[in-house]
Amino acid sequence: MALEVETLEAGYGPVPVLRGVSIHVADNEAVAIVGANGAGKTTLVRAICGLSQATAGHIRFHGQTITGDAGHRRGEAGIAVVLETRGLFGELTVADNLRLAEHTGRGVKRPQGFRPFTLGDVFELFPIVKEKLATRVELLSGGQQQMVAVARALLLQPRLLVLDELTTGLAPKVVQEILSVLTALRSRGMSLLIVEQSIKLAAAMTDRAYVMSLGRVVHEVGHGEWESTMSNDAISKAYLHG
Amino acid sequence: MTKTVLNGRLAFAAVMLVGLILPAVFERHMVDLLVYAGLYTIAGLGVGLLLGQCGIVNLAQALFYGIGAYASAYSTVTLGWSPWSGILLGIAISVAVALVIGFPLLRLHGFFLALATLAAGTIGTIFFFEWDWLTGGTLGIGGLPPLSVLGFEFNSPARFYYLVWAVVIILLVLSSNLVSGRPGLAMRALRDSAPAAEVMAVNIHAIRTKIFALSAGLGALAGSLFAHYSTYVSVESFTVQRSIVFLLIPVIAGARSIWGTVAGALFVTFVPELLSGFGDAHQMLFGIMLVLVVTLMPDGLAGIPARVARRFAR
Repeated sequence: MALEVETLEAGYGPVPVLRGVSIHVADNEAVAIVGANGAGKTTLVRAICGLSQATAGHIRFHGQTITGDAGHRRGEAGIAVVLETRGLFGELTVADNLRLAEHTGRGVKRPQGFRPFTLGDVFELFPIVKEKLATRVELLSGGQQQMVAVARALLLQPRLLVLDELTTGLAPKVVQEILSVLTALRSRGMSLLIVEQSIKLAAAMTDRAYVMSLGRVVHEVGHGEWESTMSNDAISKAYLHG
Repeated sequence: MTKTVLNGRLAFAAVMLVGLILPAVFERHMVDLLVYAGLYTIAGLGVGLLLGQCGIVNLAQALFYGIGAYASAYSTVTLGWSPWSGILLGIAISVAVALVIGFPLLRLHGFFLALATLAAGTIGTIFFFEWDWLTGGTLGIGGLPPLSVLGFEFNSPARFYYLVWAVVIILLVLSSNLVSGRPGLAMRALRDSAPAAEVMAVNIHAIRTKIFALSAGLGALAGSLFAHYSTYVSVESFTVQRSIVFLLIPVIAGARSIWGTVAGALFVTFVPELLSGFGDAHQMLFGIMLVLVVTLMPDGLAGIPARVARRFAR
């Protein structure tokens, strides 16, 4: 099992947000977290990558407990995240953003047989990134920044890639491009945890999903259940705002 | 070679040439001030690396400056060691102290961290004052031997000038390499967005602690050189006011510029001297000049060449 989160509680200082969240992501599986604004999706991402500390519960990554580990330790273990804010270093060039990832990615634990991502791989996935290497990231469009963010995350050599609201605000063409990249990543044996507001996109990108509301998992979408979930008005209206 | 690079190298060569002949044309007092500007460049460089590359305000540099100076004074005058051993001892103690106090303090951020370093600097001054068995208290320690290499003694302002500025240039080159290399990238990343750096497997706390220790080492080196230059050290030289002066150096220079540190150090050394003719008003005038520099030149003095170049490019 790539990721196991058990009865996790976390929040911001004394304010609790997550109330006993349990999810799991198997090896080479793509799982979505869906839910309306304020459901606790981003807090869950922050707790998984170590930016928010859990107050109760457990997080395990490939069998190792990482609940109390600092964020950089989780990165070294093989969890890479593209934050909702993209987390790019705007004053640095695209090349410098990638160079830093390439360097830190060398220290990341890799299982036997893991084929590391090279700069050539990410340029193949995102040709525009290669064209913009000398450009400061803050001067790129939103879509281009998102591609740099994913490219940078891949150079961290993750076994689990966590993507928080990756497609928000992007043009449909860019979204399609990113979708095809995610499909390519699946073929390389990577596990994906994708936070997504659009249930249609989540269905296109993942095998299963957890529906969150008010800091809890309120519904699970199992393998092959996407269609029935999308046609279920009760779930859509209650948790996904239509 | 592009025209810009060529112009830059020519300008650098011209500055070096002027620097070489300054002791011959300046009177002794001015050379003395240039020596102090060199010492302040070294201490200010450490503060600047923290401020400009990591976004950390360090108000404890006088503590490390003092440790370097007292280590040199005690080891040479009381223990009879060679001056170079004393310098190494000062750097080693400063780095050790920085690691011990930096490990907990550097978990703080922003104003809280700045206040914590201010507290560390204040405690340091109190120790320097109270531990008179080691520091000589207000009487200080005098009679430090001059530095020497192969029998050549750096025992005059002009001789010390060449020594200190050679050290400055070496440190500036090394610091530029550090900042343009991978460690510099990581530093700028954490300054830009600490959470993003953290999830990129960058050990933020380790980097901040290492740079704090490096900064302390530079402070100690400056303090040791100061001690051997002035041949006398006392607690007045290592107060919080001195830490503020060290912090002003990168602020005035433009914190992200390594070579600009020289301009900041020249400013804090020469401007008060030039204004001293105005009697009691000179501190107020210095304050006004500081405000003008900070408000009119957000990139500091180091940003002036780029501004001039932009003006001519229009």
